[in-house]
Amino acid sequence: MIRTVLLAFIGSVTSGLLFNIKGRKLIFAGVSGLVGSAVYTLLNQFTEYSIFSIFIGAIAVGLYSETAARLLKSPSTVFSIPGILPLVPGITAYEMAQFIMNNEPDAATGKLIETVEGAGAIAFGIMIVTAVFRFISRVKKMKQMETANKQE
Amino acid sequence: MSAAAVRLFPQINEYKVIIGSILLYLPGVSITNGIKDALYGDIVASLTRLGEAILLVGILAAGVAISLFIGASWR
Repeated sequence: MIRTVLLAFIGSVTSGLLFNIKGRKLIFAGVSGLVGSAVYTLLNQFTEYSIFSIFIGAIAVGLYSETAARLLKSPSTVFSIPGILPLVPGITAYEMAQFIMNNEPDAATGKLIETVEGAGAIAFGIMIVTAVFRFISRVKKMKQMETANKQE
Repeated sequence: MSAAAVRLFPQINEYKVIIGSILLYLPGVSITNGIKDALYGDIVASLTRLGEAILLVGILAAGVAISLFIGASWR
C-alpha cells in the first residue's frame, strides 16, 4: 500500500509537469494525488466496493485542493486535476474498447458501466466540495456587505 | 512493439506493457470533466468533451488491435 501511495505521488508530480505547474505548487499537486490514492486504497481494503471508495477519495481530493488553493492563491483545478489522476477510469475505458475488438459484448458492457460509474463518482465528489466552499464564501461576502452597509 | 518484446523475452506480460505505454493518451480526465460540465449546466461543452473522449478511446484500441493482429500473424 505504501508503494502504491508513493507511486501515485510520483505520477501526480509528473502529470503536473505536463500541465506546466511550477515551483512549490508542484509538490502540493503531488501531495494531492497522494491523499486521493491513500484514501482510495485504505477504503478499498475494508469495503470491497470500489465506486464508494473512489467517491470518498474524490471528496478528499476536493477538500485538499480547495484548501491548498486558498493557501497558495491559485485556482483549485491546479491541484484537483493531478489529484484525481490516480483515480480516473482511463484503463477501464481502454479495456472496454479492447473487449469490443475481441467480440465480447457482455464484458464490454460491464466495463462501460464501470467507466461511467467511476467518472460520475469523481465528478460528483469534486463538485460537492466546490459547491460547499462557494456557498461558504458567498455567505461570508454577504455578511461583509451587511456590516459595510450598517457602518455607512 | 510489445509483440516484439514478448518474442524476445517470453516471460513479459504483454497486456501490462501496452497499458503502460498507452496510459498517457487515455482520456480519463476528459471523461470526468465532461460529466462535471454537464452537472454545472454547460451541455455543449460536456457533449464535445465526451465525444472527443469516446473517439480517442476507439482510435487507441483500433491502433493497438491492428498492430497486435499483425504481430500475431508473424509470431
